[in-house]
Amino acid sequence: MSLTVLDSSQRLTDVLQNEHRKVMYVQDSILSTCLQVISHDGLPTAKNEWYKYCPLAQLLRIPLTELRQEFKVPILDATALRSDLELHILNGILQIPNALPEGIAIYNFSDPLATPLNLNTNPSYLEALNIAYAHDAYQIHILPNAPENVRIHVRFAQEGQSSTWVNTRLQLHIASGKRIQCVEEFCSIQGAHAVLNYFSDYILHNNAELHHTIIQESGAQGYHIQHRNVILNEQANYQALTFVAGVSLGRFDHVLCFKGHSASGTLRGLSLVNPQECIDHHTRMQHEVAHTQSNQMYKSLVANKGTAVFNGVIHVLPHAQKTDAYQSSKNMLLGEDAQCFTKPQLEIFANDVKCSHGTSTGHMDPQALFYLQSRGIGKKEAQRLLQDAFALELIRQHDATEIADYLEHKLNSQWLQ
Amino acid sequence: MPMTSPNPPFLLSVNQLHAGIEDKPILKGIELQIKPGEVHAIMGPNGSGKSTLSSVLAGHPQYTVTRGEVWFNGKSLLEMEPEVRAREGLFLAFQYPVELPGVSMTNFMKTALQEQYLHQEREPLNAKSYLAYQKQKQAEVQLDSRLGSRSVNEGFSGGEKKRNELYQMAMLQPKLAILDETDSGLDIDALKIVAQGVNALRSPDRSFLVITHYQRLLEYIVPDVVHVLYNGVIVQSGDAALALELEKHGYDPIKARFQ
Repeated sequence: MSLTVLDSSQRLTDVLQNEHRKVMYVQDSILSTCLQVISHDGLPTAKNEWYKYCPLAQLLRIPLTELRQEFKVPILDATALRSDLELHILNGILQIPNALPEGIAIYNFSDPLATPLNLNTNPSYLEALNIAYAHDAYQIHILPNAPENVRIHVRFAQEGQSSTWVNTRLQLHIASGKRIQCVEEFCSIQGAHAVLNYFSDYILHNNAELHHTIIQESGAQGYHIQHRNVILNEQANYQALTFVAGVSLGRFDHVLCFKGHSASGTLRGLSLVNPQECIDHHTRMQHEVAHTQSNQMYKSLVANKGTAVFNGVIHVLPHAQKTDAYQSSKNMLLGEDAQCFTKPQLEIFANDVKCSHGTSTGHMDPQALFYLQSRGIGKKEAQRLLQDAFALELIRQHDATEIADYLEHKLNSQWLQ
Repeated sequence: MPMTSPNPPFLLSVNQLHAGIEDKPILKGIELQIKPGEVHAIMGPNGSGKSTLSSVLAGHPQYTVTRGEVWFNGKSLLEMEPEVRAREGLFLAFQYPVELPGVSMTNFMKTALQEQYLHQEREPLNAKSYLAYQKQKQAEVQLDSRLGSRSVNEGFSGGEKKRNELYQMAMLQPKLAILDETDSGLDIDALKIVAQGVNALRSPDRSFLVITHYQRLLEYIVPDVVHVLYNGVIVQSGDAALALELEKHGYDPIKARFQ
């Protein structure tokens, strides 16, 4: 059965009464809220400020069917990245190839041991869809007895001979004082047209530390909606690099909630936007208590007819004094019809804070290009060197050399050919 | 059929060169001939077109040549892309060297050298011999090896940037080196060091075109010929004594004569 139901809320609700709701892991009250949102709101359009440059309308033609048994499960190549725990989420379903290390527990959300999902506010349309249509949802718990510096590598892939939506959710709980490295890698599968609607939560208890790398491989014809929500308790530290090397449509929301004093977070993002692609980053730094620190640095290289979006909110609540927040967005346009929309948004309700932002968008510096050419370096090679330097600045800031090298290799092999 | 220069003994022959920026003419008929091994100096007041001449010779896309021809080592220079001019042996030491954050000095010079060797159909250097060559050249121009491992010109002082230009020149071994106001922004000690570096690179098959405002640099780099550029044309040429004369009387007599 294949239904194009997203534009027809009534029929969607009907469908939900039937077999399509495969996994039900939330309380009935949450589910009914989600259903209300789905039937009341439509897929956000350009009229919605938050989706102004993100052409979600093209997703309407993707049917919302379940990935059935007969759908082929993608086979992943061996990875060059070493890890202590490798997880595969294939067609929205988790597979654990090896035994779990001590001190790590993984549950389905429907497991009685799992922490129930709480929604503080009404879900957005996409989150409602994610919950109501979940293929499954998982929790990873890093317990106090877990080894030091556990490296987790989560690889995602969707098979997609016939296009569909994949709704999945992951939650990572990190116990006090634990330091974790987590790589989420979204692999490209030839010919896949799926929409991945992915929500994830990261709960960092006091003094916990998460070094997070998100890698979106190039070559995917897919559509990616990824929403990350990070909760930082006292002195927790979160560092993320989102590396997007090409996706038809990518929407990446990253929200950090600073709930404990001296918590700090850094978001870095590098988008390599190919022609006809749109990569849209929305960030929100929610400073709720005093003495917290946030840092953001986003860069994009935009090919002709590509579109890059960066919208960054820094929200400082009235009692979040001594907040220190910085944001920067730099974009290099590689053609006359390359587009970039960038908007810093500072909402500050405290009076003793340090918040700043900067943004720049432009073509490659002609003086720099000429300088290289004047040394005998051909124009193409000169452009490649300058793009490489622009992109590597962020990659080299990664504190794990192995991951930085891995990304540098991807940059060279998939983008700067 | 490649055209050949009508004046084979000259390394560089500039004939009736007119060029400008957008619609504004700056060079209005430059005549200049340089033989292999010669050092020529071009002096002149501000706005006379000195830097334009060096940029046009190096192929800066901002400038448009409206008339004239330039022969370099028997080939028509103006038809070449800037990178081809460089591979053919033309080098411009910039007045304001550009900072390239994230581009390492090694990667920069290695790429430049590779492209030059490829163009000249020479066997490229392997990694080991490249490093040895780099080390030798850094020592020659007394470039701090720490600078050699940084991003190109990033955070370099004025003097370090100029010395880095010399280092690149030493690496690329050009036939003609154009020094565009290399003395600007240098104190007297830095100036001496740069001049020593240039003198070390002088050879019978390498020519120099030294563009400068002041006679000071020419005390250290003694030219064979001095030209005075004013209002887009060379109005006077002479030997090294001309520079001293200019230093004594300034440019006012020139301005008065050629206004």
